[in-house]
Amino acid sequence: MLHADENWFVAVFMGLLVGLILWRIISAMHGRLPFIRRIPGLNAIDEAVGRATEMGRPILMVPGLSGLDIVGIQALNIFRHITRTAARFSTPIRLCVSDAALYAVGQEVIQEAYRSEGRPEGYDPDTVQFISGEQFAFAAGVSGIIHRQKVAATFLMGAFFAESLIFAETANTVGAIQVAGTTLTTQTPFFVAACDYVIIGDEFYAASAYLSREPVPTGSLAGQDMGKILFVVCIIIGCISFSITGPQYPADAPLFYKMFGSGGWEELLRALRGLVG
Amino acid sequence: MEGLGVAQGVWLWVAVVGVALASVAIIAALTRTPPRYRRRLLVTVCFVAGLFYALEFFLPTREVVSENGMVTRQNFLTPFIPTLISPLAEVLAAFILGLGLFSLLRIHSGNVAKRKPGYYNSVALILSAVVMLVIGLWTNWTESPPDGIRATYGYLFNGLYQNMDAAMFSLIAFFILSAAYRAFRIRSIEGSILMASALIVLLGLSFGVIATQGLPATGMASNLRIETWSSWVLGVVSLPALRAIDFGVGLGALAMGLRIWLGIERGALFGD
Repeated sequence: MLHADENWFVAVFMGLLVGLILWRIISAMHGRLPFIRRIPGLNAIDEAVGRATEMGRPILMVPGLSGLDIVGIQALNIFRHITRTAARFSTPIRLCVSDAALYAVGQEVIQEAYRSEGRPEGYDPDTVQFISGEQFAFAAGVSGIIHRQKVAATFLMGAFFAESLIFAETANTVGAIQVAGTTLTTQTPFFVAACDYVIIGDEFYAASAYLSREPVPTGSLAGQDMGKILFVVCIIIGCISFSITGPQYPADAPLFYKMFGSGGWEELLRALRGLVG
Repeated sequence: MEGLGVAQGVWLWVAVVGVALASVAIIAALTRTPPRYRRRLLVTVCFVAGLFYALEFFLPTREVVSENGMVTRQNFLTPFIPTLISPLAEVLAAFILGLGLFSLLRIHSGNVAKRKPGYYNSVALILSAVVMLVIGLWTNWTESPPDGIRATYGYLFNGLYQNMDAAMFSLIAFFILSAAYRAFRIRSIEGSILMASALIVLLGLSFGVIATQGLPATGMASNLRIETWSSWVLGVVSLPALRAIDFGVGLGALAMGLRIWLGIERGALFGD
């Protein structure tokens, strides 16, 4: 386990980022809402639901191999919005999960989404299905559902691995409109190649703010952007100074090396990756 | 579980029955709790759990040498992770897995009972699950299971399951081809850039190297070698972009984790 006194750079930088995010959340709660740019992948949700409604075929939502972690919960946040839109038009939905904990929470979320739209009778417990905890058994199960039920739209949001392309290409064979988003950079190219709309990187986490426009997620998004600006400033200072001084600088100034060289950033990136799981 | 001690013999069964009864009582009480109070309870549990890890990270540590001579840094909270938190998480996961299995059987037995189209797939699934469960438990329950049972387990797991898993995996090769065909059709500037980059990397990692191997390996002319272009695309264009996405994703996860920890997140976990 990593501790603060073993790696002060990560601890201080994490503290700074947390401070920035909290500051922007509080600002947003006091009415200073930031502007959010257009995200085509999230705009496509309504288009996909509309198409499924016109065709009278179901919408399929898959959180990949996500468990009940930050990625899985964010995927459910997006699915909740999709379900609420689908509930308004009585469009059938399917949510297939590979993690039993996410299945339990997913059932609750989908049921609550129908209730909040004033259509509690529209909820069918069989819409949320636990398929399998094994990667390719899950892939086979979901592919079977795509083929048998001829889904009109698929939403692939969460942690995907080798099964990503199996889902995307199977859905393509039945002519489904596809919106995908994953936090894993290894699978993003497959989605870009195979899907109609792709949510890349942190756009996945921006979805809550984009779809709800509530102060807390919107402020948090602005805080994240300030964190990114801080990263960019450090990178520019590092590039210029190390171009001037050359690689001998670290030995003379370890603090400078940690701040602006690669010294502390690899560790910070590792710590941030640890949050994603 | 050495920190908590392990119950043996009759006490083990007493502990198992006691914990099962207590769990049923807790679940029943939680089910009857009004949503408003349940949400407060959830927020409190989340905060306490998060606070544990935050304190464990920030509190000062000292070096501890384990029995096998391994040196680790710990504070007074660290020993609770392997002795209390991890087993607790495992027990919860086992509980919830039962729920998943129940869901699977409920949906598929419904398909069979109503003779829905393709119900024979559901029959196959239920049969496979039951057979694998019985054979798997029998094989692992005793130290020396009967030869027939061990052989059946080997046939089912190594002979059937693993091969079917590999067959599913191998499908990806065909899907990559069909996806690449659609992605690389040159319809836009982005498509053209994607196609050109892919071509450079593919050539630089395969037979393309032969075409430029006559060029010098050092000096200005080495920049014309295809593997130099390929490593430039991978190391200068692709890697920084991936790092940038990683930082963005990490920041997003940090913000979301913070909102969940402090109970200010709405949506899936805490409702409206």
